[in-house]
Amino acid sequence: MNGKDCLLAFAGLDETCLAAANDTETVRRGFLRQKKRRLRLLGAVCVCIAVAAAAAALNTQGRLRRTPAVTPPEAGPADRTAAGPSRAEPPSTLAGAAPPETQTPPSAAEKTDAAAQTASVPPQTQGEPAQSPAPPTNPSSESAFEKAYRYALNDPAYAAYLPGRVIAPEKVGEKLGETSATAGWQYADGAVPETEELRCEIYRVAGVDPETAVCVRFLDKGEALTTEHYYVQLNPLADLSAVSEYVIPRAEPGGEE
Amino acid sequence: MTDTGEILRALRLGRGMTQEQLAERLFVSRELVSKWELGQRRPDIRALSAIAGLFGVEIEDLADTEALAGELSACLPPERPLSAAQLRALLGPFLATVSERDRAVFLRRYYFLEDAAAIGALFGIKENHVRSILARTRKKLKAYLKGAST
Repeated sequence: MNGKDCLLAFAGLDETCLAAANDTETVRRGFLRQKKRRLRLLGAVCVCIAVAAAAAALNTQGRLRRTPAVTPPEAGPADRTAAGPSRAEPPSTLAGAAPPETQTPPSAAEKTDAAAQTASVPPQTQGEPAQSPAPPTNPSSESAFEKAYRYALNDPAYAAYLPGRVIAPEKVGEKLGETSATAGWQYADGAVPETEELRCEIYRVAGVDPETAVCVRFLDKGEALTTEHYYVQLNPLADLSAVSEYVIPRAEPGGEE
Repeated sequence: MTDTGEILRALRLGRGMTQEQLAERLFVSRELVSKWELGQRRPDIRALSAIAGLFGVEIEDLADTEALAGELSACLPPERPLSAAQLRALLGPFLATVSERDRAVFLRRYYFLEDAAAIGALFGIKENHVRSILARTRKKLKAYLKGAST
């Protein structure tokens, strides 16, 4: 018994066994399908590797790490409006740079409380950075805030005015003059290490005495201030009931506004 | 390289046979005998066996089958040799156990006596793929024959 005998044994195969070898087209199609399956599998593996590599690259660059893992449970949508932007938001959305549509109009009760609280705030001296339109004042949600963007008008007539909300352009009255503002980032310890001078225009709020409130449009873009929006400035010593919708409520240490 | 067609023609003419007479003896058509002699077709192992028996020669005198026999000899169990009849009886059931594609490639090699390149071209696969299938199937045959002989 040797290889030749084994080879000759093939001569004894019946026709049914040989039929598969003669049906070359079926076998060819079978190999083609197998090839396609392997290519699809290879493609899927390549896609998986590419996705994994991209995720690893993103993680290495720290982009994923900068995304907040959880939102503070205390800071709901209403708190966000009242207490300013959250910690995860970029600097451009801090302070007075928030666009008008992002601010929720306060309820009637909030308006009354807010006006009273704002009126009790002592006026600030010229050159001191004033509170920005949306300061992080809620200690429960913003106590970890590292810094906030502040600004104050340098015109003596309006230096004591406090920032309010952004006003719609159609509610802006005639121009009252031009001045400048001192702006900068104020840290948690109160320090403002760097300030910048921003040119701005002062406008009347339609139907409101300038002794009560005016609005400001900046001609120079600040780090957290736009040149498109009109920012209301409120006189804390005046009756603010007519402009209460522009008052930013000040939070008390207990978190109640 | 053995020219099967020329040898067959010489053997036939040596016996004073026509292509038609040879075809009748081999139970094939005259056209097929003509193609064999012209080298347009290659006789399979069954035809070679019949031609060798008819003219009283060995199949290796008709075609290069040493390489094929060598490949298959590695599949045979050395400790308990099988008879030719046992081998013929086991080959069919064994081929039923392998996939249709592998069986087709295996038979193209050892029944139709085609080389790996020709089989690859026939089925649209690479020559290395053919060799891989052949090696895998021979390994299975070896295990099958070993199991059958014990």
